[in-house]
Amino acid sequence: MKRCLWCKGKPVIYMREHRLALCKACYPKWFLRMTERTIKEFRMLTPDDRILVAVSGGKDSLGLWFALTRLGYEADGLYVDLGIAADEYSQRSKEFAQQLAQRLQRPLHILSVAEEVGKPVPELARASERVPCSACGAVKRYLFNRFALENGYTAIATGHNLDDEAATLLGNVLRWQGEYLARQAPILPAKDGLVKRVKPFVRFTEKQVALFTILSGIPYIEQECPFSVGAASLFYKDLLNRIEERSPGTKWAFYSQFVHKVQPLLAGAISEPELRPCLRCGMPTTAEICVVCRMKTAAISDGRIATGE
Amino acid sequence: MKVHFRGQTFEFDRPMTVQELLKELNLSPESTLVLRGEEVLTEDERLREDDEVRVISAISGGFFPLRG
Repeated sequence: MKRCLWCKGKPVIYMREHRLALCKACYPKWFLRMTERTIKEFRMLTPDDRILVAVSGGKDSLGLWFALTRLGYEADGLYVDLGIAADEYSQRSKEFAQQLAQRLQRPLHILSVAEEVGKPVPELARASERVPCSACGAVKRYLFNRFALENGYTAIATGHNLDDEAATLLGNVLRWQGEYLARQAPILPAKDGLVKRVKPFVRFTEKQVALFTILSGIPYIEQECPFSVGAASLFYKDLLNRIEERSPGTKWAFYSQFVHKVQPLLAGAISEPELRPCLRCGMPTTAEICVVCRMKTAAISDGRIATGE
Repeated sequence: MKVHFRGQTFEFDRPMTVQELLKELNLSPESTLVLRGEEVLTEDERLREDDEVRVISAISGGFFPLRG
């Protein structure tokens, strides 16, 4: 049986891509060290940054909030209540976020999609004729950015991990989505009303993040969002993991080589769509009216239809 | 042995390694953690017939976002 490379204790994980076995005491130290290294490598954060962590109640975002705090960053949380009633998903997710906020003694801000946009995500998706995850993603990006701008935060940190990023990259490559590829990076600098976005966990697989969160004693919502069943991203993640089993290190090579060699070329060659303030809310958009204001309109119209007005 | 996974309980009547268990459940070791109580087990760990373990899938995801 393998032993922990650092202390020869009983290992909790063997990472083939690093040829590294670590025990439950050494693994969190390694994980924090790698997080700090990633933040520095990509120049994600400065000591002056006011950080807002996008907290969902899942293992990635809660693990990230905990890790940043352990590394000495002053990071607050923002939980966006999506209003998903099935299996009390939103309610339970929020409670996990609140538990960690209490442990960290850091503020957790809470916004409700129903209050901010007019309807909870499932109804908003129906009213605006979008799939729920598309509506959800658009609303979350909007609310995180607006809240950060209005409250003086200079960086939004999200818990995206290597599996998320490699699956997104695979999907974008399969369709040769040039504009999306040009913007797929571990850090998106601030510009034109958009707050800087950083992904300090891009170096870790989902399993590594889950292990860190569990060993840190952080309870999180294990249940997947009811709307994610059958999602393409899960299929791509499964495919990539099958490749990883045969060829350890492939996921990181796929993603990191793209980030270092290909993305800068694409970013230089493909001009980004021009952003301008939404005529209704003033938030940056490529259209006259931003997608969230259009969803608001759809939600109001849908309400009128529902009540027979 | 009793295996709890996603709200279901599976029973196996023979000892096996964690790696063999994951194969039985058709799960990738790249995306799965196996816990016996509070103890996190590596793939080469041998499970006994009277063990009770919990399998956690680390994979989560939603709609394919097609963006960075």
